[in-house]
Amino acid sequence: MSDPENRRRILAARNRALGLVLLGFVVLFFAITIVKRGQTSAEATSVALVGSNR
Amino acid sequence: MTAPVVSKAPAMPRMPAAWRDFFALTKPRVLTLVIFTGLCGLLAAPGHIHPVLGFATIFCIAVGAGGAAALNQWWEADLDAGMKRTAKRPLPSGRMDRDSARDFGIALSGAAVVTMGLAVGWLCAAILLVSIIYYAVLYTIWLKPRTPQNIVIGGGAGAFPPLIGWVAVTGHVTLMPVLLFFVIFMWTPPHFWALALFVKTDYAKVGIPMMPVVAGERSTRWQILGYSVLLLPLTLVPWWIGDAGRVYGASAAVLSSLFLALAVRVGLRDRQGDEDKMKPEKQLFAYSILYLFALFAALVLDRWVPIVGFGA
Repeated sequence: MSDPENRRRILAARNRALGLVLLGFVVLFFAITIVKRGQTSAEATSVALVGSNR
Repeated sequence: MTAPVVSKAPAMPRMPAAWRDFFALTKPRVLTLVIFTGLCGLLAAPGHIHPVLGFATIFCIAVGAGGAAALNQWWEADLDAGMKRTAKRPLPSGRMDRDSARDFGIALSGAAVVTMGLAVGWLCAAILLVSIIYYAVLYTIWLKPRTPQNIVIGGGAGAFPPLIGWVAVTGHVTLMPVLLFFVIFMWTPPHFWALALFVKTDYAKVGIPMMPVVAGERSTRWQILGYSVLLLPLTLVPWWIGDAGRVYGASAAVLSSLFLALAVRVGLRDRQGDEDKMKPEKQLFAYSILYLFALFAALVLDRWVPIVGFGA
């Protein structure tokens, strides 16, 4: 395989790997945000319920 | 501070480094132990963590450890080039330029700490940051080239994952995760010196003051034995103080006794000339890896699989 062809192949594979890593981070941050928001609203609900029972 | 020697490898390799070379920089084999002990700390801790946040914790521990490993290889590229075991790594073999390795290590470490802080908490993120600095700066740059005690103190770097996993669940540092930290801390010298005994010539060649090179084999063998003697009661402490049950206690007693038995064989023998195959040392090294996996697995089993009439 020629040098330019090999270089193009390596860079294409690197770009694909970087794209997958970035996509993974986006999915992870999305999931974390959903979970944290769920926890925050659950805490807010319990505080409101405790307050209304007093 | 010792500056890195100018590399014999070309400043800019002819070809760009492949993604596999970046992956190799993270020392994937070492990461398996880091991920496993971190996961065990997380699973053995009392309390509950959302699975997504649990995954994020382990992910950040792995990415942070990978970043620290990349920084380690960036700094030690020339030492690695002089040792048979490490000469084929991406930097010494000339497949990657040094700056790429450094930038990759910093990016991974930064991403891991920030993600950990946002997802799990800033106490965990702070401990993760300390562990990265501990390995990449305290051990790699400062201790390793200066003192034969490098492994003893530097071993702490590998002891952080279960502590971080535990704190991710409980939110605070207590005695039990600190004990887990010290179990790995105490396990590291016999594990690493057993390896250093049968790859001694490599470390001597590049001038790293490993214990067998500086203090001699006899002293190293006594010290392997000493740390193994201390490891046995230390692994039983979680059971004695009641933070772990009998499943863990029995496993720790058996596993650590076997570790000690292998260490006694290494401690009481001497190399039988150049033809010595160093079988006891190789056996101790191989068993030490299995030992840590089994010990931490026992800790998790103890919490999650209560056996009627046997569990605590």
